[in-house]
Amino acid sequence: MKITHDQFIKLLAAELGDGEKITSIRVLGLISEINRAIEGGGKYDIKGFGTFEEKRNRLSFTPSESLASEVNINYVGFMPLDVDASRLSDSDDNAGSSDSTKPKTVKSGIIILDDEVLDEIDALESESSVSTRDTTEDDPFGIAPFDPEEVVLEDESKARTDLISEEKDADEKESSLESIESIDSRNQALKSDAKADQNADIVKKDPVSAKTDSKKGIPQAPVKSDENTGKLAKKATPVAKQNAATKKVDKNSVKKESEASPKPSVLAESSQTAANESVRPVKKVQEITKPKFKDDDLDISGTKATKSDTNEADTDKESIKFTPPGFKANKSASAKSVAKDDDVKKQSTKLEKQSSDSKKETPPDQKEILATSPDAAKASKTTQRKENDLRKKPDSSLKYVFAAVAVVLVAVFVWWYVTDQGALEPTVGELPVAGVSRAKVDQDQPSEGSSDGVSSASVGNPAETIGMQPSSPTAPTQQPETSQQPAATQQSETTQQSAVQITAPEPASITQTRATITEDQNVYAGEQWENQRALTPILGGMFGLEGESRVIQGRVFSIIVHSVPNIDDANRARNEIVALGLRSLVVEARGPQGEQTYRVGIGQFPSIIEAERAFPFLPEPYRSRNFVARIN
Amino acid sequence: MDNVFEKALTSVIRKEIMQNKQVSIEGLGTFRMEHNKQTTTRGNDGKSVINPPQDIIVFTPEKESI
Repeated sequence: MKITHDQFIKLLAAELGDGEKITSIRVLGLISEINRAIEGGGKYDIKGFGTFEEKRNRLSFTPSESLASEVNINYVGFMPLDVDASRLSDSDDNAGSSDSTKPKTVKSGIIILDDEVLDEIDALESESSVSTRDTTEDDPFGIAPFDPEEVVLEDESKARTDLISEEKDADEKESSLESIESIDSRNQALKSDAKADQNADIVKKDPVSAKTDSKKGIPQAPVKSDENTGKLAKKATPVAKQNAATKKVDKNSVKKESEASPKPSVLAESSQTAANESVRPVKKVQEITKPKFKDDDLDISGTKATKSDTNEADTDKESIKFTPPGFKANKSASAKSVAKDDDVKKQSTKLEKQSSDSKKETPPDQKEILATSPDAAKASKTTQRKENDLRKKPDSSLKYVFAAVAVVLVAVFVWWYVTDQGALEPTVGELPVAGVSRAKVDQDQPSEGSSDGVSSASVGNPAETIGMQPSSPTAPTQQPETSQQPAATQQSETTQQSAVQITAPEPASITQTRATITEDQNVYAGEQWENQRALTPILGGMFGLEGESRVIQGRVFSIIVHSVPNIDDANRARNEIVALGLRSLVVEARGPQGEQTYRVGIGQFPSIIEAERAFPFLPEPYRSRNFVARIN
Repeated sequence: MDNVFEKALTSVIRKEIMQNKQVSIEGLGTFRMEHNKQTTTRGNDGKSVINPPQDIIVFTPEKESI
């Protein structure tokens, strides 16, 4: 489509808002100017449009870059591409060859991919898969699911091995107990028969225990009918020996109890016997010395026990008859414990042999005394502890894990406390003012004020100076007051105090004050800011907000307030800041696109925190528009 | 020529060219947009260069312009 001259004039007139005639005249005037320029051998440039010039005796037009790029908007950024000549020749040669040698093309959706591209994609995929595999195998970040077995401290490894060995032992014991149980199952029928033959007195005296007995179905081991068992109880042994023997046996008995879950019934029994306080210790000792009682019973009813295996329950009941009145209340419990211990007894034949000597010599009365003696009570406690330990064993691994986590947490807390907390500024109440207030400095040097040129009139009340003493949160603060500067907030005090800490140490002769400022720190402008700045405890030294910039090795931070591309502008901004009495410097930096920039910073600080503490002491607009950057 | 006039002239010509229209100015010439297809050129060193397609402004002066 073509726009004629008249149409162009109309459009241009509409653009300018002028009449067509005037526009036409102006266009003619432009054309004459161009012609004149070219006839003079020069060029005619229209900014943003292009340049007219004469080339080969003809008028030519070179569009400006902006116009050219606008027109070529669809292809901007496309650059000429060098192609390997050999490949082109190969492709030319292969053009007439067979299809097998011709590069294949594969349709992938809409895009047609050459073999090369496919190879590249395959290579990329293989790389990505390898990298994925590596990361999953190595798991450098600990993404793998938490396995408590792997998280074991070195100190725990020993304990774990011990634990495993103990568990193995426990398993062996369990297996042995299982074998005993198999024997017990055979005797179960016998037990039921024996239950039927139980003495009527027992049922009458202790019906509840009898019920629990029947409910529990605790297997009762067959009573050995040989003469050894009869002899066992007759021998007397020291109490300690018996306790040791019973402890070993009780481990197994507890294990068995946990398997057979007789706990509820035992609890029921205990609750039943709880009424009789005098009976309770006896019961405990009964449980501890189960084999003994059984042996005693056997001993007492030895004649019955030797009759046959089927009468063993009867022998138990008979033995209960011989117990003292206080002990009768726990007859059923003793019967149960005896039954359990009979099972254990088979497993621990060695213990029986050891204890046989003592039991042979121990009369029944002495055993009752033993049951009620304090030693036996202690033994019962120890056995209970062991029982608890055994019950807790399955959770021991978890316990170690929790312990490890706790240790790690404590270590992290300590690390945090040492690093961060140590770096943080203590609260106002915790801090003794280590620096010297500006007021006191001015007081001591009334002639020209401090070396950094702060007027002495800004702050100063000699009466308010106090000796060095740690300030407590509740202690009243000394507030330096001036007519222009009432005070600042507590926060600014904190800032000042912390800033004082980084200054050089002052002579000890100078008394130190605690400068409390109650004025709103957000309102510092003009003269107020000048006064406030006088309170700035950053007195100079290596770091600080004031003074001259210095060459400092190591990490140095500054409050960047300008970032300009021109060094002259940067220096100009720096001079303005220096005129305010602040330390300023220009730092070269690279922008996000790699462009050279010059940053104008205020102050030099050893850390970001220290730099941020100086924010309140900056005038606007620097106070509200800045960022802290490392300059060294 | 003042800047306002030059800016208006540039704006009008650019708009029309972007719409793929020719702009003819009597006494000066014609402005139009031309599309150059992708071309492959081979140099003396045997290397070939693929030139991308592009849209350019073409100015055709009037015979009487100079």
